[in-house]
Amino acid sequence: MSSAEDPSQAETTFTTGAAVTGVLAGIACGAIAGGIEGVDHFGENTGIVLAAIGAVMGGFTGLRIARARVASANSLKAWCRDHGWIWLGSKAPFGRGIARFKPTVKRSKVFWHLASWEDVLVRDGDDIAGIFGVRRIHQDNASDRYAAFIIIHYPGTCPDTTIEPPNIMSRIPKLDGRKRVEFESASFNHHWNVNSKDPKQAYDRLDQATIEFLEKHEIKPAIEFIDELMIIRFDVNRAPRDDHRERLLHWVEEFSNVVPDDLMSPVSLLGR
Amino acid sequence: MPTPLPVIMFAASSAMIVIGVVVAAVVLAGLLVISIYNRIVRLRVTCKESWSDIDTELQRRHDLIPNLISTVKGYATHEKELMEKVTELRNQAMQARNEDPEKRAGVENMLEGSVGKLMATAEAYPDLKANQNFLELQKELSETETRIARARRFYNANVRDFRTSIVTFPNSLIAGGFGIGSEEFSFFEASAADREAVSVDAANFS
Repeated sequence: MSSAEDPSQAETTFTTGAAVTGVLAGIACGAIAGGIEGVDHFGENTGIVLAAIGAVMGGFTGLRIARARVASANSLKAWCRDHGWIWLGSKAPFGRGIARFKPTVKRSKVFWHLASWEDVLVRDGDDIAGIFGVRRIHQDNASDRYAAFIIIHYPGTCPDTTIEPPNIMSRIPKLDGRKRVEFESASFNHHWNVNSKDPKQAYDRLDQATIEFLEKHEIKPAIEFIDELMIIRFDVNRAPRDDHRERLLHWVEEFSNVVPDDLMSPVSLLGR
Repeated sequence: MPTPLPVIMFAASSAMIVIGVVVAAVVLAGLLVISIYNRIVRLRVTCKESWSDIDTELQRRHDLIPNLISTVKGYATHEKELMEKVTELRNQAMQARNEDPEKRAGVENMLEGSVGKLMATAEAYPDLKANQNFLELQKELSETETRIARARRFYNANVRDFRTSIVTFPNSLIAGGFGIGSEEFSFFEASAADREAVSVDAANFS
């Protein structure tokens, strides 16, 4: 079933239930906060007045948040309908998006295993399956870390290979059998770190065209080939909006175009 | 006057420490030599393995050529000279199997060029171009050429690593001590002269 025909992808209407829930939640929060602060600092009577003001303001805020969430969901669904994806929802559980690939993803070195989902989109083609998900590591409110993950299931397989910009762990020998692979280009070796269980396979995938693409492109994600999956992690500042999401998906399309076709066919992620 | 006992004990313990340090240094040096030697040997084995990958693919190319000649012969009757040249180069390439990579690369590159030229003649023979057997051979040859190119690149990378390893200090001392030299493996690549030879040959047959 395409996303256009899927009833779960239809536009969400802003129902009275959603409005009431938002308003009540806002009133409760506003009243409690206003009341506690008022009683603590200005006495009981002032506290009651502040609780009432808090309840009104909280109600409006709750209503606005509820409206914004529905609008955001509708915008994402509209984008999905236009580009052939299906939105599984915000905070979609891990298993829903990648249930089929869970054992492989669990072994991934670039995937954030202990982070929560923000949005999960899936796309199923004839022989290509794609998952786009945003994950967030809660550190503190000011410094939450986000990453957008694109997981592609394609017809083909590859021994575990990671291609990523250097980081603190790059130079440490890997205990899982992956070896550092160096290429002809000193500049590439400096800007990228490749580890593979089969250096020959890494060489075959990273031919001159692929190396040149990775060197020239301003987006530098972490890429992993693991069994029949390609997992790509883009470190981003916040959950990507439509144009940013398209840029990341377009990067994956371009990358799949430069990898030799007999090892990975070009994937289409933005067409219907 | 006899030497006092504490002095003897001090001298003995000092000697023990010196001996201990020397033994530890020798053991550490031995371990270092073993580690470096093993690394060089591993690189040598990798070079040999990657060379055998090239060899397998070149053999595959040689095996495809007789089929190609017999298929082309039936249609491209005017290309006799070119077919003879391809056959001759194939024989030379097979004889060069035990030569070093540098020499072998020369004849293999000439063979590659001549086979490419032969494939290109199909353009002038529509019946040959449409022949199913020819199309399959064309596809197989193309895949073989891709695999040869990949195997060659990987082999050259391993040779580069091997050579770098044995010329850097202190590996150079150990490699020299065990008689391992950089001439053991040469790169497998087309020289300018080979490329020239192929283009001249091709011109003669057009």
